[in-house]
Amino acid sequence: MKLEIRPIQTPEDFPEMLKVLNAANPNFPMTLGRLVHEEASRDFNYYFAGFVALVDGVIRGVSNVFEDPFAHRAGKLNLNLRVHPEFWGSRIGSSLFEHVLAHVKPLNAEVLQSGAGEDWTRAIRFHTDRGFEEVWRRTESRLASEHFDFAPYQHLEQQIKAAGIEIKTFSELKSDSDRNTKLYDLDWTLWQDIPFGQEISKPSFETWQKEMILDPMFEPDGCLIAVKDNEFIGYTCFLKNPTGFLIIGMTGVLREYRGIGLATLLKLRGIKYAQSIGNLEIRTFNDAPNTAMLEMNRKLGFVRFPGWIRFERKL
Amino acid sequence: MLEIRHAKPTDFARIAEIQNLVSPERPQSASEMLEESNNHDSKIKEHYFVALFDQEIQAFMMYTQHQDHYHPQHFWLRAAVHPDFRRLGIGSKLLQSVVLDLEPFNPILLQCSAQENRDFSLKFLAHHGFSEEWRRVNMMLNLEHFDATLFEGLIAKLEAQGFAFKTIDQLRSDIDRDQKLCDLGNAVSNDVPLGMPSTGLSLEQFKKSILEVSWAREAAFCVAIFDGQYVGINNIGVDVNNNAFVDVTGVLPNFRGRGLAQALKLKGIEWALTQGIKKMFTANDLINAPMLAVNQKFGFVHEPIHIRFGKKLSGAA
Repeated sequence: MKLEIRPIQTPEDFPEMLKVLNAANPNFPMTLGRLVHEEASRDFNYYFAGFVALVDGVIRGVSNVFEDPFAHRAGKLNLNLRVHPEFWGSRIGSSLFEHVLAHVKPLNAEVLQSGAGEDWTRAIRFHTDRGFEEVWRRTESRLASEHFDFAPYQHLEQQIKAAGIEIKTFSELKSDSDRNTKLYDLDWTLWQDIPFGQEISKPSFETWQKEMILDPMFEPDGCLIAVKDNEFIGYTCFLKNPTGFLIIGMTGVLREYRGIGLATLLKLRGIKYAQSIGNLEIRTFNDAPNTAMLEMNRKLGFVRFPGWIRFERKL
Repeated sequence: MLEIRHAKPTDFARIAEIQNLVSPERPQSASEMLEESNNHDSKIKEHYFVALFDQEIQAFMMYTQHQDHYHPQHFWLRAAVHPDFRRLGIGSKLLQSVVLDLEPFNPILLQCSAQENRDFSLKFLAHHGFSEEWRRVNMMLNLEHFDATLFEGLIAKLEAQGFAFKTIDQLRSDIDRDQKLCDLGNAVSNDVPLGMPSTGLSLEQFKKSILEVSWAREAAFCVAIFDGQYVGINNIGVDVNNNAFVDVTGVLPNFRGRGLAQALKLKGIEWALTQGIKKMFTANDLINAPMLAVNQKFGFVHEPIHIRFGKKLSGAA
């Protein structure tokens, strides 16, 4: 077995990288479009290096190490590392990890952040064996949209309408020339109240557009915006993974409009949207301390799945 | 929200609009672009991709291959992103889509060109690993101020030496005309210092892409003839703005140094003046000093240089 580690050649390596990424994490399949999107949207003001591990000339491992523009912290690097399951135990992960550590040494970073699914026992051991410690958890919940019962929420539509609030899709708001900037501002305001466990940095409008609206998973009809007097006061965004499920990217309402069922109504509209495009399953991630949102999801019938552990270790 | 897909024939009006907005110096109509695509030899791999934002095309990228400098693993790219949609990664996505689409053909070289004063394009290409290969000088002649006195007597002198100047519509009775033009075109193309080996055009391709193409004008394709032999050519095309452009000027090696190229150019300019054309464009390789000097003599002035860029792909020697 000849192991070679070299920098990723983009996009030529993408088709083979996909095989590794999807075999290692079949629950959240990557697509070629998404790899292309990530590469094209990258902010090169932040450090990024990607590597592939080839066994006998075939890509079997993928790793990248980078500064996270959104949750940037001086001295912190993030790591992604995946190995094809058929090659687990072949020291490919260790070799990639050591290669990455050697590569970033000149940067004098202090902390390396990584992550693993709660049910990825092997990956968790890989991290703990190398001195990583758990720092945060995000939970995952899923809802089968097909048989969702809207009956208990019939009053909500009327209630919200009576408050002068309309829910419109991103597409329906196309004629509003400020639509994108208004959604950008709203998104940033809503992020202030999310217990994410890390300080976040405001992306530029261009970066936000790249990551949000130009994401191949963004569906203009799955982005539902609450509008009052022409102001955007809340929104939810159902992103479509092309392999057949939706992920909720954000659900939030401005503080002064909370407690009137608006977030619930936004999600209900999202569930209707999921039904309209083939009764797709809906998945969502929430930070463990975000009990309000977790409770709302539980009431709507979302079922908990293994979540995501954020690890850190000193460098 | 952003969709990248293969272009449909109905997309070409918008593709042309974006290209002409970004590169107004050599405008093309949608029908010219489609004609160009349809005229290619079957060995040429060509494909257009479009990027749609809010269901409207805001960028395109295409790949094709040089017909007359053909290499099966070399590809030429052309792209334009609407100025309002730059810095969103759309060009990068298009480039990646193109590279992935090309994979079955095992490409080893991607080439394209950008004008030296277009910072956005230059940065994009540098960022994606393209490096400079070659420079071509664009030149423009304002025909309204053309001074023909410098060339008085030139044509008469050459005619006295036995040269004849005919446009190709005057040569229809020559049953070998097209083959002779094709052979001459290939011969002079071989001598153009383009930095790439010429592979020439077949007669069929020459007819389609030079003689019968919509920008061609028979009365603007002038041939210098000596003793029945076609020894020099100058072909002028007309773009959608009714400006003229020089497709080729060339003289066989044995007949150079006698002013034939100048005489042929003069014929082309005279024809353009009869058509009320106001501007004529030409492009020459930076190292083609003799032709640059001839053009300067005619009053052509320098416009921004076009830089040819290349990117070797993995597997390339």
